[in-house]
Amino acid sequence: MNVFNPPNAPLNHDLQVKKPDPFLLRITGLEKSFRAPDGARHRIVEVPEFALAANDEFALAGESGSGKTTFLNLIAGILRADAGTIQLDGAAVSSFSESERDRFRATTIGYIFQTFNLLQGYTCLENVLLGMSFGAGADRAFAEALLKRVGLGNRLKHYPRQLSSGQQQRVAVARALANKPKLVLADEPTGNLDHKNASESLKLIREACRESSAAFLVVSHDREVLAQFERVGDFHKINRAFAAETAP
Amino acid sequence: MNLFGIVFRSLRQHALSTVVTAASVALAGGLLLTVWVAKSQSQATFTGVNAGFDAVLGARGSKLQLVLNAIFHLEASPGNVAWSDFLDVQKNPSVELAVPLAVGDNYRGYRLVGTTSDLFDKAQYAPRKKFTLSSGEWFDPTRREAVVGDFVARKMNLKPGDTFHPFHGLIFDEKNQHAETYVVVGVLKPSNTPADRVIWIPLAGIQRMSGHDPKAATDVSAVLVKLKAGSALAGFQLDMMYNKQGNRLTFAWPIGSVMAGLFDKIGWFDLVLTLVAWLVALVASASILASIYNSMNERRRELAILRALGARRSIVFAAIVLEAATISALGVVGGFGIYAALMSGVAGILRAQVGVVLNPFAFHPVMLWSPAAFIGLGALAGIVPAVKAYRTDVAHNLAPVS
Amino acid sequence: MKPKLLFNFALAAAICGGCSKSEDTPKTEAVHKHEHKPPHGGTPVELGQDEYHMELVRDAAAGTMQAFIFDGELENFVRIPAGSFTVGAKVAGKEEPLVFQAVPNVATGETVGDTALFEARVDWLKATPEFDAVLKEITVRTKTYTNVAFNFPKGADAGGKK
Repeated sequence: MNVFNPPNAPLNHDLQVKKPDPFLLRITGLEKSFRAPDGARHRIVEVPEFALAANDEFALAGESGSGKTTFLNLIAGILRADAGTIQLDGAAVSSFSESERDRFRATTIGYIFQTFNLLQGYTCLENVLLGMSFGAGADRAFAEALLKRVGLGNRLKHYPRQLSSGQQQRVAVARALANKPKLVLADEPTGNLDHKNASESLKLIREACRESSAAFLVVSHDREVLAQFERVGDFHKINRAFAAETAP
Repeated sequence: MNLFGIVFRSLRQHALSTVVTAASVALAGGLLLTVWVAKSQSQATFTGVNAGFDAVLGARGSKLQLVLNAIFHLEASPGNVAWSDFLDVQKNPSVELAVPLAVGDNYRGYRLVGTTSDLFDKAQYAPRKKFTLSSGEWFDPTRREAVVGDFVARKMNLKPGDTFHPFHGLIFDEKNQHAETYVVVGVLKPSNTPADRVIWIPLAGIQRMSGHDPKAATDVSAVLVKLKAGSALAGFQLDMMYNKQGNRLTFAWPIGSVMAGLFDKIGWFDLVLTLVAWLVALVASASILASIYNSMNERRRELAILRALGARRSIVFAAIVLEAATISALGVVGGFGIYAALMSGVAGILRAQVGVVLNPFAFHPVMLWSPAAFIGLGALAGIVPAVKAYRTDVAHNLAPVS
Repeated sequence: MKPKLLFNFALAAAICGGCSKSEDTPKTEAVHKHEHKPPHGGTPVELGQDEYHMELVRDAAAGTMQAFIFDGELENFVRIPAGSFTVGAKVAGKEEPLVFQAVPNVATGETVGDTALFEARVDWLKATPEFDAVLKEITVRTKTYTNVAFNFPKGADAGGKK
């Protein structure tokens, strides 16, 4: 007789194979507050739940001050939540230590900033290599291929100051994808671009994410940007803290 | 890209401040090396140069003055020594060799030293090294002939066959030319001792030069004394006899100790120079600290980006400390260049003025621990700005909140 | 770095301290009965209570004995005007006189009447390495010492004084 699993014994649920989480990103009960100069605490983020599937695209619409950047920073592990959980690619990021979050961010997340945030003392290629070096490690061939993919194959040794805004944004995109992330975050990625560059840039990011099988979460207040996405959420409704602040 | 890559690019980006700060470290490093090595080498050389003799017998006076006069051919002699005193010490059973010297004349600032052939035939200016000629022959003691030290020969362009008029005194004065004519018959091979800086003539040449006191025609300025091997007590006994029991003459023995005493007396000066060098080092390190610290404000965003890309706090801290240490290291390298230039200058001056030869490229332990100390200082200087970098608020310093 | 600087300070202080000649050495002042090394390795004979010394050096081969007059510390020679002085030695039960004559020395500038070195020459010194003796009388500067008993080569501590 099998003493560990005798016949007619009730099934031990712990031994059952867990069903994989269909969501790449799952957030529950997320809260974050900051202390104002006058000492008062203000809640910036209060998100009861949010989820994003792998390979998915989602746009969050929100105005300035709605807490969008803080929300993205919490997901990226740049900030630590006061309460709640963030599950990303099966890892409970919200319970990681700071250095664990740093390492996780380097290997799992790509981040595209509104003002590009390239390092001025590094060439295009070096900016992309830097993005890799804290993760899986520098892969020069792959970095060059990425830059070529975003149309900057002949600008590898240029410094950011030698590039147009649109070109700088493309370097930022290449850097964000350098570590083959599972999730790409973009905070107002077209905010500093003109209309033409904005639409080209967004198209490039979405294509690149699809090619890399990365989920894409973008925050923007630009209606033209939002219009391009099938799934759009109103961050003002998702973030109860904003709703509470602005409630009449 | 690793930590060194990050540091290199940061240094490249702030090239001007890197160069300026490294230059100040180079100056400090070069200064410290020069002070240390110059003092240590010159002390070793000065206390080691004795022309192959153990003692100098001279007129009553300062032992240091005697040694400077007779061995280094500097200073005036404290007085004359009678020929009988020379004979007396020469026949002392403990004395292996006694060579008389006479000074009082010069050729365009270069001292004429009268002596006997014994200095060249019998004396060894260094172990197993006798004076030799690079050209010509030794002087005839009965004729007005001269053998010129190598340094003088090159400076004054003297070669066998040339003639010259000596000048009276130890300091050159055009008006004091002697009537006598001397002919150069030989040039010494370089010995790297003060002997290279003088012109050697027969003893009688000085003693009987026109204008010199005829009553002192047999006197000498000093006697170089070499004691017999195994007569360690002899030096002590002669020292006691001449210096303590006697009151006419001074026996400067041992020569090295007399010179060492000089360095002891100026030990404070060496300390001051060393302190100055360390102060410069501290200032240079402080400039590294100030330069990097002041750049922290402009670099907040850069540091936040690094952190956002996944760099841990410790990496950012280490990068700043390493950057400071690297600036120091660059300065250290430059410091060796400054040291080579300074030390070559010092060596040239000493050679010309005293005849003592220093080697700027000889190894000295300070060349190991001084760079290590400077790099350590630099790293220390980097800690304060590194702490600031460690505490960078990433979210706050990235793009403005939307 | 810092320990080396402190070491340099200490070393320099020691050296500069050593430079100063006015430094006292109290330990040599404290005790009356302290040892002085005779400079020639001979036999010291104390005159008075460490006021002066005489150092005796025997040359057996030549049959001579030299007497050097020193100060209380056995460091500085003291020249005296005496032309000679006598020491009575007891040799084989008999009293043998040792007459020390003043020695002039051109090298040191000493003359008879102004010398610190005296010498006695007698044959029996060649074969007599040890004997008791009495210094009859000697005047050093303003002090006269009489009947100073001693043994050669053991020396003596106390001496008579007028």
